[in-house]
Amino acid sequence: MMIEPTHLLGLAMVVAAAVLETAAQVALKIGARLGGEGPNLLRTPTGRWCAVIGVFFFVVEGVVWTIALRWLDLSIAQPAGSLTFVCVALASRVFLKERISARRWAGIALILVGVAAIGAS
Amino acid sequence: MTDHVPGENEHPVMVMGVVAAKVPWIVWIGVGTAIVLDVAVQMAWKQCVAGVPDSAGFAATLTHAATKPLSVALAILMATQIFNWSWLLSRADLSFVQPLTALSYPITAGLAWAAFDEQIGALRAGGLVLVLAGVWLIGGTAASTTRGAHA
Repeated sequence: MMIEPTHLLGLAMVVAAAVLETAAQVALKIGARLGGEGPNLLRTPTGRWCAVIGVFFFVVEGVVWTIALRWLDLSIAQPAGSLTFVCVALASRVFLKERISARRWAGIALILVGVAAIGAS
Repeated sequence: MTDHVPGENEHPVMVMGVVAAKVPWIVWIGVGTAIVLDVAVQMAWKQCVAGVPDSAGFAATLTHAATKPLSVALAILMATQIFNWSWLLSRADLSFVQPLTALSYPITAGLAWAAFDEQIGALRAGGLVLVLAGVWLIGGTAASTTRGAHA
């Protein structure tokens, strides 16, 4: 099967979208932690900045994902996009110091395989 | 397999022979709300961009969507989505709640089957079962493993 340059660019866009969503999620999580219990993301100045940064990354991710879908079939983009689950888990471990048990990793792995099967169907 | 000491509202339970942390019901409500909002946003977005030619750029697509009456509902839905998500993140790990949003796959497939009689092939059915199994495994872990959240 011939791999066209646009396919590689599309895959690069999917990876970029996964990284952007991860950054957005981490920013929102940091803001949520600062605000305490409940939807208090906007309570502190840092929390407000986290909200702005998070929403900004989500918007850019939307643009990048739209570009990716122009170059890739959804059947390829969707499973590749599930890379986000791994990126978010790794970022949660590294930046947020969350403890990810073997059971949670196994669950993420099953979801990855499941989404790949759904995309291939 | 979990590495978390359950808190006041979080007692371990035995599910099919596996010791699992009990996740507060309010977290599950937040996850459910997030999935419903996600599906609603996608449907509203699809309605807003309906009729946009494939050749239209991103700016043209946005302009077209903004002129639709449904765009107001879309903006409200998106704001509610951020509000609900930040509330959820204040109560649970990001690595716990984010993978659970994969539940939208089986829910959407189930709705499409029930409402539109859409057929689900063997490969898709297998994928959906794997997603459900993954969610079940993650759902059995502690919702919060850091002191910053309040689950």
